[in-house]
Amino acid sequence: MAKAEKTIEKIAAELIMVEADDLPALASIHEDFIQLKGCKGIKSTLALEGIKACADLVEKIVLNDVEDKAGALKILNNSIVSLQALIRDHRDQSEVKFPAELGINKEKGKKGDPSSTGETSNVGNEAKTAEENDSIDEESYVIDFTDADTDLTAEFINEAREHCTTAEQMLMDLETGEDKDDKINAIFRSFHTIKGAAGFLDLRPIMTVAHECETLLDLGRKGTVSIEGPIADIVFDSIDTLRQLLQGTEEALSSGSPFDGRTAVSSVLLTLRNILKNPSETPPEVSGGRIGDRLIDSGIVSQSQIDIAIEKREDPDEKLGETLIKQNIVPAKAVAQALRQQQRSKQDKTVGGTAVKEMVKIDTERLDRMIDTIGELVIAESMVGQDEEIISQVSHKVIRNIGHLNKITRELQEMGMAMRLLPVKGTFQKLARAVRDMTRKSGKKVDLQLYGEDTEVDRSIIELIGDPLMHMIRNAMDHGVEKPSDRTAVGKPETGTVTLKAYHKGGKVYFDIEDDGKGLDKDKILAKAIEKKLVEPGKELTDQEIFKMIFQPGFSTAAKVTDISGRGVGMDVVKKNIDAMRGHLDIESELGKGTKFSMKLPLTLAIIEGLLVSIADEKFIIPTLSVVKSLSLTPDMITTIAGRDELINLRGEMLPLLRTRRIFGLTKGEIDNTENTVVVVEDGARKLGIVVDKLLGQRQTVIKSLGSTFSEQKWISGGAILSDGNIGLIIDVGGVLGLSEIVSDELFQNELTSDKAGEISLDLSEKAALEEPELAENEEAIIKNEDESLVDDIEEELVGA
Amino acid sequence: MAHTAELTVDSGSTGSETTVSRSGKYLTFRLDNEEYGLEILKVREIIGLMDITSVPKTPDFVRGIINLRGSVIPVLDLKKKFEMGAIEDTEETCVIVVEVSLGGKAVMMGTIVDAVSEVLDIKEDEIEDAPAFGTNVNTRFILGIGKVKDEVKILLDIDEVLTSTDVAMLEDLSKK
Repeated sequence: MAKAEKTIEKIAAELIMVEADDLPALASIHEDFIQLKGCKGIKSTLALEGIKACADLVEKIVLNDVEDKAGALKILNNSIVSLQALIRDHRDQSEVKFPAELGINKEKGKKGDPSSTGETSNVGNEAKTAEENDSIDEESYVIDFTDADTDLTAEFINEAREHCTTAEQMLMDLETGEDKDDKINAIFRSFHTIKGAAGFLDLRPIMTVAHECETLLDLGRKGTVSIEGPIADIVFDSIDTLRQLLQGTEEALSSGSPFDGRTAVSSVLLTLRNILKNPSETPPEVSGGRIGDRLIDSGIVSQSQIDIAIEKREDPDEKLGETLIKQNIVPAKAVAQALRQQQRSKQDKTVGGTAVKEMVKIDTERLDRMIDTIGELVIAESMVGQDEEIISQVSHKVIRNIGHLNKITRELQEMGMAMRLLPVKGTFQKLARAVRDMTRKSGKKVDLQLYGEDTEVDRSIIELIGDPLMHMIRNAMDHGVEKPSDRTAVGKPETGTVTLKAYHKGGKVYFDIEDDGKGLDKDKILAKAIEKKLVEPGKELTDQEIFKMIFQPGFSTAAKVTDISGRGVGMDVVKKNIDAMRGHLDIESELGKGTKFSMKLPLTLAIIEGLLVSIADEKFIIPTLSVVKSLSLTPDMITTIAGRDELINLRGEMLPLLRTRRIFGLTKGEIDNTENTVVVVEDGARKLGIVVDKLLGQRQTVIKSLGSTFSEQKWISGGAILSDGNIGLIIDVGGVLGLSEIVSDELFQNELTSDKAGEISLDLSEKAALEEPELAENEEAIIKNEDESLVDDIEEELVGA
Repeated sequence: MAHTAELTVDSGSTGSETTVSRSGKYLTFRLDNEEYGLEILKVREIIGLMDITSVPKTPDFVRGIINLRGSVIPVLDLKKKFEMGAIEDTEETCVIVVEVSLGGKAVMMGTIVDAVSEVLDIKEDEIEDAPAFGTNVNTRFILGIGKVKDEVKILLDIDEVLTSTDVAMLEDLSKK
């Protein structure tokens, strides 16, 4: 008896101290209750029942099966008083009353036990609300953050999203691959973690959906239902719903207003519950199984032992842990440990405070700041390393130390860059999912082949690449791949293939999207372009030029209406996105055979590789991506038109020549009429020669935004911090060339004659930012597409001429 | 700095704080012989003149950009902006880095001034609204006129001055 007394005192003490979210402590209390039950001296049946009920309640708190944890703790505290009265003070059973909520009194009532004097519980069992309430309308799906822990919730949203992604991927693999059991288990675990954490944070709709889906998956684990086809669809739907709910939660979190998830949950919950009703067996207990897993994992029991135990147990509602203890298969302590371990790991995931095994999550802002600082360190290092005074010391030791510093700085820089890299896998998975959905809807058969999922790309690119890729894949499926009947008619396999490849080449990252569909119809595109007055009839265009018509805004929709190949819905947006990433998009297509889009992107948006040039003592960077070549300029290469506009002949190709000194209005430095270097740049199909004073070499520089102040200066894309700490302006080749490629050929027709001077009689004092729409009509390409700032320069020229 | 002697720190007025937002601490600086002030809370730092990379094809009051410990910030020439002629770079010339809100976002900008004077506590009753000058002077850049010990400080609405750069000033210029 002494032992029982001691134990109950210990529990009482623990209960007073414990917090509802202190899972290890709760697990320990649970263990103590089990121990107490095993104490021999307790004769009172009511006490034993009370202990069991308390133990169950503790477990429920731990497993997040209780809504009001604080309330549950209160019930426990009250129950302990009763237990103390029974065990320690040896009161008669009739004198002692357990709190109604504990449920013993109610049970007694059912059995007609006269000792039950408690009022009938209208609070009901706190647990299993989700399971018991079948009607969705009766449940509350409002998420309110008035007193919730917002940090934890935000953390949870991120975690849960990851779990959704994992589950989704596994589910997709499940439909095709092997090791089904492992995968179902993995999906199950994801849902379970979401459920647990959502319960912990009282995010009811999320918890409910996760719970129901988990139950379904559990049936899948047991082989009662097969997780494929329509059932898999439901799981997919559940994942989508969870995402919606997470989105809603996130918005609610930032806005502070409650979020009602009912509309989001209702349809999927109904489906889930209907399915769960159909299988002949009732949804089995889910929480126990996990303890079993734990125990198996730790080698204490085997799966077969658990199976036998489950078969043998009398009370189907009994927790597995208890069954195992009762049947003396495992010591109670092992169960409690497993329970505790399980909760600890769950807590790690929900709270995220302690270190997660392999990953450390870092605030991206902090990471960016660190990378910025490393950038500054690199500059400071090179300023020291290249300081003439220091180098002229010619001290061997100094040189060596500087070399060492240099090496470390470079290493640090590389590490900084690597930290921003992520594999494209996540993005690819989303696409795979989209393809799966689309094949189901469209009735087309498409096999999406993914290559290079592990290709690492800068985070900033990953964020931006998703939409364009999705768009292009969708296009490939919608307009590229034909219907199965059409395919067989032309002798192609029924199932179309869309290939998505990611790979590194020459310091760039490439994304290729290839389909074996019907390809682009050049004639139709050309006809459409002529109709839309984008091209003049009879003009010879290269295939590339024709294909690139689909990037014209508005081209696509019109094409769709008139039922041209239809390819190119929103391709202008895709092009814009890629341009924003300083990337290139090439199209290869053969009618009837298929189309290949090839995207070339820089590895990172933070660093730009460029050619450092000097123009009139100012330093400029021309992005290497745009540079075709550089060459010495000799006077005989230049052809002038109307005495002003210069063209150079580059192997038969006539390129307009841009005198930057004049265009940019730079006056400093020696004016040298024989500026002797031309950098040939390209933007898409258009090329241009930029005249510079000097080439200073290739540089990798950190790109810095100039901010909105210079947003009108479209010919600069940013500032690059040079090795001396000063800033060089990065020339935006697209801006210099103009955004439109269609009109490039007009250059060669060259209609800029002196009568245009009258047209551009602007006020000379007008500055760069002025809009001058009437110019657009009849200007030559370069003016049309330049930043307006160029206008007054050319005008000055004209006036001067 | 010689000009700081011109002004003694305002210590006399101990009157209770008025609720109007204009009273408070101002950083005063000199453009030619005129004293200007801007709210101290907007000032992030004051740095000596450093190499400024000019950006071609920008209004002439945009002096260029500087690298302020890794971030690129634009630098404006207030004298050019106010059409007081160019600033001649001397040892006293400095760049006041201010944080202004541009389109709801906090943006750092530098402004070149002839010299920085001091920080003054100016009370509301020492501040008068800018008088109407007719069309030539744009008073929307002016928060008020501060009178401290017979000295006149032109208190600038620095947000307005710096962020109206692109459009408003250009319009004003082109109308001339």
